Amino acid sequence: MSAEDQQPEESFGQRIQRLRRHRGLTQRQVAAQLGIDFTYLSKLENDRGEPPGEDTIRGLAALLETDEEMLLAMAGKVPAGLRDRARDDIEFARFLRRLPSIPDSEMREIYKKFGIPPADQ
Amino acid sequence: MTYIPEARIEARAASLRQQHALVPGFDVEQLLDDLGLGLVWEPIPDEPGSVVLGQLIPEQQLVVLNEHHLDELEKKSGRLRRYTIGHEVGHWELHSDNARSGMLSLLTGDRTWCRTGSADPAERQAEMFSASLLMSRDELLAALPRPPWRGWRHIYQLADTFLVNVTPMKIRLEKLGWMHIDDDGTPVSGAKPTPTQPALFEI
Repeated sequence: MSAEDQQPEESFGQRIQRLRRHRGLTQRQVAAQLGIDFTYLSKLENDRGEPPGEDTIRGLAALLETDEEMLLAMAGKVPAGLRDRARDDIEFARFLRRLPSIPDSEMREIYKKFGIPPADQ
Repeated sequence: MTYIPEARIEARAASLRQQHALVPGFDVEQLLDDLGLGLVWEPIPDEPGSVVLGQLIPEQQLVVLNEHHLDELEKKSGRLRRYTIGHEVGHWELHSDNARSGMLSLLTGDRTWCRTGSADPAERQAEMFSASLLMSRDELLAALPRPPWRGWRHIYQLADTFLVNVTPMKIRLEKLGWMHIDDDGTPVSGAKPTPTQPALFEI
């Protein structure tokens, strides 16, 4: 993640607005490239209404050259792959439910084991 | 509401144009971004006898465009949208000193409601700012046909160049004294001739 991506306390809408401006694109240009309505993008940037679907978020991340997992997380989205596996694999679903109660130290070990970089990288 | 002389409004708009290197037909939404103003489309209820096209919420640095009037605002490459955004930028530049300096405004409530045909001085100042911003005096002068000229064709051409509707272009030219409507209803170059004062006493 580059320096321009690091802004604490930023909402999903504020993030996409800041990244869009950083790329020198207008709302209309981004909306046209993603095939969404410019009025809808204006609402997203101002955190009005429901967050968009996963495909739109991935499109936004690609266009704005930012981490799509970060944007998905900020929008409170669970990736479709995760949802599908939780539906098909009950043990996996149980594991997911346990995740929030796992201490940070253990989580860090898990991240390390799977080579997941820290959030500021 | 503080009185702001027209010359000062014109100068403020010219300074903004220069600062952001704006050219005729410039992208008003790009200007909002450059000014750090957000933009959102939302339904805003109209009021009996007046249409609300937009709002400025200074403390949120946010321009709101009325989604109820989307079709009208977007017609002809968004000419009315451009004018409305210019109007909200006018409120930002002329009436939002506190919000621009990061202080909370004690005067404006939380937003300006921009109704069509309003006689409120602040609304008229914002209208004038928008006209000056979108139809710069110098650029308009450069684009005007060499006088004498007559006919609507010239007004339409200028409106196309500056991406505004014909009515605001006509009003702007009249206000600058560069055009008037003659007795046949046709635009003619130059200010309206003043009727000659009849002599008080015939000799």
